[in-house]
Amino acid sequence: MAMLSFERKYRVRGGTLVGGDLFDFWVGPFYVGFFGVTAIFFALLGSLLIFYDISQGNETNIFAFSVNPPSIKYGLGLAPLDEGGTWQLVTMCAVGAFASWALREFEICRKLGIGWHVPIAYSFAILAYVSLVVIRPLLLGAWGHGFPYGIMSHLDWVSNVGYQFLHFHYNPAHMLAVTFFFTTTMFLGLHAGVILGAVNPGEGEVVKYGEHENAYFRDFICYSIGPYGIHRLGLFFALNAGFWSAVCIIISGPFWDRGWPYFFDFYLKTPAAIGNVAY
Amino acid sequence: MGSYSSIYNRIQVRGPFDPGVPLKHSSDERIQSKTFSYWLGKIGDPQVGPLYLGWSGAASLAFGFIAIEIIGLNMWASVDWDPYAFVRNLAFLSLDPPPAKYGLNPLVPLGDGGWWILAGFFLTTSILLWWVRSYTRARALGMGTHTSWAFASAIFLYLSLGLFRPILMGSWSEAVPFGIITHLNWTASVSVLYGNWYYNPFHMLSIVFLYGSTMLFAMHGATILAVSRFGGEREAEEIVDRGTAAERGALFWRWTMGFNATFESIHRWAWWFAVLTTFTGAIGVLLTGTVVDNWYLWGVKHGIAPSYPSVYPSFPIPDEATRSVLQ
Amino acid sequence: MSTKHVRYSPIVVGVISLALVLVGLTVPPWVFPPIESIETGPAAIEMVQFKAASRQLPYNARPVALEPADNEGSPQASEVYQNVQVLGGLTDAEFTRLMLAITEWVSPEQGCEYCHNLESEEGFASDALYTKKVARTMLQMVRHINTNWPEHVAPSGVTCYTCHRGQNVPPRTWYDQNRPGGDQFMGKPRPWHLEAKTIRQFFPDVPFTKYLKEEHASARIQSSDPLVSRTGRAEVALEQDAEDMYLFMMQVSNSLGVNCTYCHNSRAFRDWSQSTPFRWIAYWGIRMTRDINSNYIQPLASVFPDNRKGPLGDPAKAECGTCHIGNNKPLGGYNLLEHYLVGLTEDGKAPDPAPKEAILIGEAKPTAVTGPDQDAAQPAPAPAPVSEEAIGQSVAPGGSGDGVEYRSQEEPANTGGEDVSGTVRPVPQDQDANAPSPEPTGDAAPRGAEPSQLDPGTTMQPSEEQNGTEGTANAPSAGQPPSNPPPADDTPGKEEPADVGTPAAPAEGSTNGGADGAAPAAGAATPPANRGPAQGTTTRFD
Repeated sequence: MAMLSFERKYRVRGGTLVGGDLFDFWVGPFYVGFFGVTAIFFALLGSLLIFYDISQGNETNIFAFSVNPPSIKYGLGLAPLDEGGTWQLVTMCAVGAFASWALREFEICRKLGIGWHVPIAYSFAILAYVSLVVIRPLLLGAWGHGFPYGIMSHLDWVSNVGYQFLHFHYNPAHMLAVTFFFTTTMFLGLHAGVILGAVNPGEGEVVKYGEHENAYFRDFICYSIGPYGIHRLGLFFALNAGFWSAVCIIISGPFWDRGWPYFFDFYLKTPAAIGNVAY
Repeated sequence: MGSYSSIYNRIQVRGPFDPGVPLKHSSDERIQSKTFSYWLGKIGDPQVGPLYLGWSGAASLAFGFIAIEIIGLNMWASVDWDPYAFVRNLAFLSLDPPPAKYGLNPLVPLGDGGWWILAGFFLTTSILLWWVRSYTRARALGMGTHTSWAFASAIFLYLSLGLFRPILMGSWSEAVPFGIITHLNWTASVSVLYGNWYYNPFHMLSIVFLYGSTMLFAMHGATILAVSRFGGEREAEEIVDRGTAAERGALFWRWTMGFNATFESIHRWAWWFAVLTTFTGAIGVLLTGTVVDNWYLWGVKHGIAPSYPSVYPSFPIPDEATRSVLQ
Repeated sequence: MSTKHVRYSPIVVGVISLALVLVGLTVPPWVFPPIESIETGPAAIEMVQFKAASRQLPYNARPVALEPADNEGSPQASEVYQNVQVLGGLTDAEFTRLMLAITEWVSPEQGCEYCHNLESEEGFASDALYTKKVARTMLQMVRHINTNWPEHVAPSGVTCYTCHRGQNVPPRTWYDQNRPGGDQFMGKPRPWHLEAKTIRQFFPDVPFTKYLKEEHASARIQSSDPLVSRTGRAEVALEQDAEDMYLFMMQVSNSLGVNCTYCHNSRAFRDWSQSTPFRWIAYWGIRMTRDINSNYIQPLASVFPDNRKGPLGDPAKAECGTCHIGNNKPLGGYNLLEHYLVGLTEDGKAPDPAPKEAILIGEAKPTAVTGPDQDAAQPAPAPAPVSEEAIGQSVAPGGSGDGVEYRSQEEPANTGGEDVSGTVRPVPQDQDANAPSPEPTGDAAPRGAEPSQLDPGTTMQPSEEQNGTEGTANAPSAGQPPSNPPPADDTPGKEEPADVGTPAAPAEGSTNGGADGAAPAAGAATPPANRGPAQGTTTRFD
């Protein structure tokens, strides 16, 4: 069995949310559980639907494969399978699979007696996805506003959505989200670098621990947030990146229908506009 | 759970000021600030400092200060030194590179981009000196220099945008302006100018690593917080001598997705994702305009552009447009 | 200290965050669902126009046409009046009616005396006021547009009101602007209008100067080759030119109340085979604007007084927003011209819809729409107050009439005198919090009819019977598909089918404006000669 040397003592019963002992077992390294069953069901069904949809087209390049949402003329109703209905089913499967996965993570957390941080963090990612394909289409009144499932086609979608608002960089939530993404990546590089530097000190040096990590960042930038704080900070920034991404797309359309640059009229009209200078 | 892993510290532990481990290879002393910050203690360690300044740090700060001053004073001057207008319009103010007519000439009139060259020089020097610092500080503590090389990757992207690509293109005007809105305008314009930035494969990779980095930090941070009740945040210790925190963290991912990193290897994954974000981005920047002129057509050439049903009947197009359709 | 902080800090942080959230939620001009959408491209890639159902456009009142003139036995205007240079061929009755209408459209508050110096000896014939000379040129311009630019303005054409909207100076214009030089010691500013009150005004006018005059910059900024040529030189425009182009296109989109995907598939902006047919309308419109700016408006620089001119001494010129004002068809395609064809066209005929039909082949329409059926909400023209009295009650052009400040280009030139009686004004409407950016000031901000432009579902059916009567007949606008069959060469209504291609095929990249300005003359009815690869056949792009 694919079991780590220390694994056996952790494989205990219990901790399930649904189904009691029924699916409380492992397959290879995978824990199953009730939500493992639902996850594999949705994932398989969704994948098969994707393959079916692709098989109906005549694309041969994997980059050009795409499962497309329906035209907006179908509104919030169901579309024929070959006109976006497959996309609707795939979306249902995806949401089902992602939610099952998150719930399964809760079960594993309970089983291992650790905090629920990972499934909570994962639910932010699900939120971002659901914002794109469920919440925003609902607010706009047509499933056709969801994005197509294809490598290049989703980029075309992103491009067009960006230019629907003329200059998407002016979207304030997008600014925030991008800042969080970049900052998270910077934090990740710094954190990974210092941990690797501490335990890989080079020839002739002994392995270093927390106090050297602290000392390094204090020497370097005058502040070390500490081994615990960096994980909280990183998680907080990463979740904010996902959260503000969701916000930035939900407000684009349902709550603002013009170019984002023109959104900032209010700034020029507020009291801050007193005392303009002409040159 | 509970207070131990919420988003801020409800209880601050305030010990004696930690002066830091002795420096092995440095002559200078640290500046012992001996201050604690209540607000920083909310999210992490309340201790501020000590700081090791050294010649590279001092020079870096000085050069950085000069760069910021040049940028800020130019912005202020562009609104006739009106402090109110400066604050209000700060987002729109800009210090632009020289126009194309100067090419790569380093001797540009100050008001026409010369200040941009100077600011870029001072900022670059400052950043490089700060990199030196990141290296010497690690060595002084007898640590590996992994942080420095991650930092170097970010510097590579910065220099690609502001120095390497302008040199390859033969004109300072290709560089990014210093300005909040203006650098966004630059980004959007360049994306359109070179066809479609989304079709730049190195941009794709960079985005993948950017999102991947964020995802990895969410996964890693959440895992460490989740096992912090078992002391999981002492990562170096767990790497050297695996405890139950590392075991539970590993098993969580093993049971979830059939695969797990170790406490050390997760940091290798993380380091590479972070480094490759800026590195691939820089490659994408350097290829644009020097090798590839239109990324969309590059994608068409390689057959990756999907086709969509045509929804309009055929209609004529202006004659000059036929010349521009890819043959 | 720390115990106090521990107790209060969450409250302090919470209050500050709450305040920030409240400001973010309340201060910006958010719109709310329902949002109407119009799909302008294939499904799945979100070529879609959005419009909040609640959004109102400024200056959207629609004046009704005056009663038809009784031309029976009416003498020619040139026989009745002196110094009638443009409209002398009209009957006296028709002439007077048109003069009344123009008063209503342009100077409802000042009346006839805005242009006519009635105190002089010549009376109405006097050319003493600069406004009269300007009006004459503008009349010629309107006639020129309606007769020679059917590609852009058919079928509803333009009248004085299309731009003026009851204002002495059209609410949205622009002036030449110099890009700041680099001769100062430090602080080279960007050409933003830092004193502006809207983002639309805030953006530089440099792009208008670059693209809306006959001496215009090339718009072809992208390369047509994937790779850099052997010489190693990039075949694209300079970054600064791309920025100007981007800005120009943003202002155009904003003028029309649409976004980039109305005309383009953004993954390949330059590719006509992936663009929508609506791109043609804009293509012609840009050339029309170049024509009128260079040949009608710019020459008036010697006529206008200084306070009507911009910092560089040029008159206020037209851009897309001058007519469109946030609508992809000005006034929702309201056809006012058909009641004044005699005076406002050169040949007395309505603009010929054939060139547009040649492009749009009768089937181009948004592929799908969502949103309520707005048929019931079709705006009715506002009944005009008694206009006959305008002559008698005309007031001398006051200082307010001349006092436009060149900086406030998008504000009404004349906002005074809300209670001038006896003149014709659009029906004032309530201010709307969600109005588009360029706000008119004061009560001069008429909000009349609902915009019908982005009203989905209104005319998805062919509307042949509506031709020429609804004013929304067959322009290829959103929700209003053209209804005529594809024009064959013998399609009735085309006058000179032989003159193939001249109007529509000036080279976009040409820096020589000659072809552009002169192009759309008599042969306008014919489609452009060059039928390049059409969308259906080039989907694979190779």
